[in-house]
Amino acid sequence: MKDQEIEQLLKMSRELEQFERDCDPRVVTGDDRTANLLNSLAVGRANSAARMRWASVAIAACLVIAVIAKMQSTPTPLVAPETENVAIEPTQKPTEIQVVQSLPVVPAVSVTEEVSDVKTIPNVQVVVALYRSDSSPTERCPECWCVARWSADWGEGRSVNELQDHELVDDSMMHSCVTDPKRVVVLGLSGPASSMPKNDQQALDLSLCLMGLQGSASPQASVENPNCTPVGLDYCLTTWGK
Amino acid sequence: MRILDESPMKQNQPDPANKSALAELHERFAPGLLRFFQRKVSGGGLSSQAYGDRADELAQRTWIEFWKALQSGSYDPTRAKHSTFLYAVASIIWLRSVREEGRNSRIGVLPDSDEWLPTSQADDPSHAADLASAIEVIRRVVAGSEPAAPFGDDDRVILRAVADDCSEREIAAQLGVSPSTAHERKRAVLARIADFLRGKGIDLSQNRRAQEIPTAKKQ
Repeated sequence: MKDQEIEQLLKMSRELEQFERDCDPRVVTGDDRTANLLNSLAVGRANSAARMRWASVAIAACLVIAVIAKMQSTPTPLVAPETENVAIEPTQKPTEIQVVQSLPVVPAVSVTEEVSDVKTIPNVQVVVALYRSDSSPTERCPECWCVARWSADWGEGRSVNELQDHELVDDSMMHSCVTDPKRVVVLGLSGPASSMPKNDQQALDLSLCLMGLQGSASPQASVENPNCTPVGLDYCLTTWGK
Repeated sequence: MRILDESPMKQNQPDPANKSALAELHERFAPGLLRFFQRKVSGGGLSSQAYGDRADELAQRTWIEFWKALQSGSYDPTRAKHSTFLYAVASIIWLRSVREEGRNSRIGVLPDSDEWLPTSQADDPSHAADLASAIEVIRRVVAGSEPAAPFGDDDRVILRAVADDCSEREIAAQLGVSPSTAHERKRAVLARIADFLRGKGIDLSQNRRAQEIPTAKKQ
């Protein structure tokens, strides 16, 4: 027998233990939906510290990503440092002001002062969450994820970039579509409805693309998201897991 | 009920006692079996509504194969517990369904499905008995309860780590050795466990070769 076959048998012996635990009514009671939810919540509580660390890092990463994305997509305010009194066009998006605020090297401070009261009002907010029930090392596996997608309302017209650290993670815990998820990827999106993923497959492809796993996606994925850039969308990608 | 005491079931006799025993087995294992398939199916990305139906269907197919195996006498209760045998049947049913349904659809397909089970076990539920025996022996070896098994504590640490899908770097950390040493020791212990299984008359590779020979002759 090959080493690989022995390894599979060893993993199956461990899976068998889980199977036998599931067969014991003293371990799991109630209907499956309740059990799944309780299980997810228990996992979430047990990993709250780790999640908070992940979330903090992820939010910081999101801010950096947002800054870089806006710098690339709307370079106009950044390439005119000589202008001290830059007029804000009425059509300019509020998020662009946030970008300027986040860039300490940009001298156009007066820009932010003039329009600081402009409110970001994205069209819709959508959360995409990917769940894995295993801890397989095959990260490049689009089929291993269970996809959940839902509309979110974070109140007060907040966009995804204005969320508290834990809000995306907490949202994902309430929508888990697998029992005892070992790894969860949560993608928050704010922007026009027309730019949102239309189905689970698009959501999956976009998430994997943003995670840097686009090479493993389907051939269709590379067509649908050639640049892995959600046009017109603000987004925040975070992960948590055991 | 005799069947729950792991003693042999009356075979080839669909009498009321056997039916009653199967009903009791069903009551005992059905929840775990359903959850087993729910985990498998939900990991494939199906919606909650779809995976519930598919898990039910796969569980039913497993019970049918399980019943057939009991009736045909291919299951030997002295070599594997009922739970182990049922798990083996379920694993084969799952892989078979992945192969049947997954070729034309990305959703629900395991990427490494060809390697998910030993190849010899992939397509024929009648091999569940061999698979169950192998898992049973390996389980006892890892637990240290297999008599005369030539495995020490470090060996079992390695086997447990492999079962938990740990990397060789993680195994090295557990053993306090270098990754290259861990790699060599892992290979050695896997080879020894393969030998140990063969010594007990379990060689899944032989089943594969036995399957392949008639196929080759036909061609």
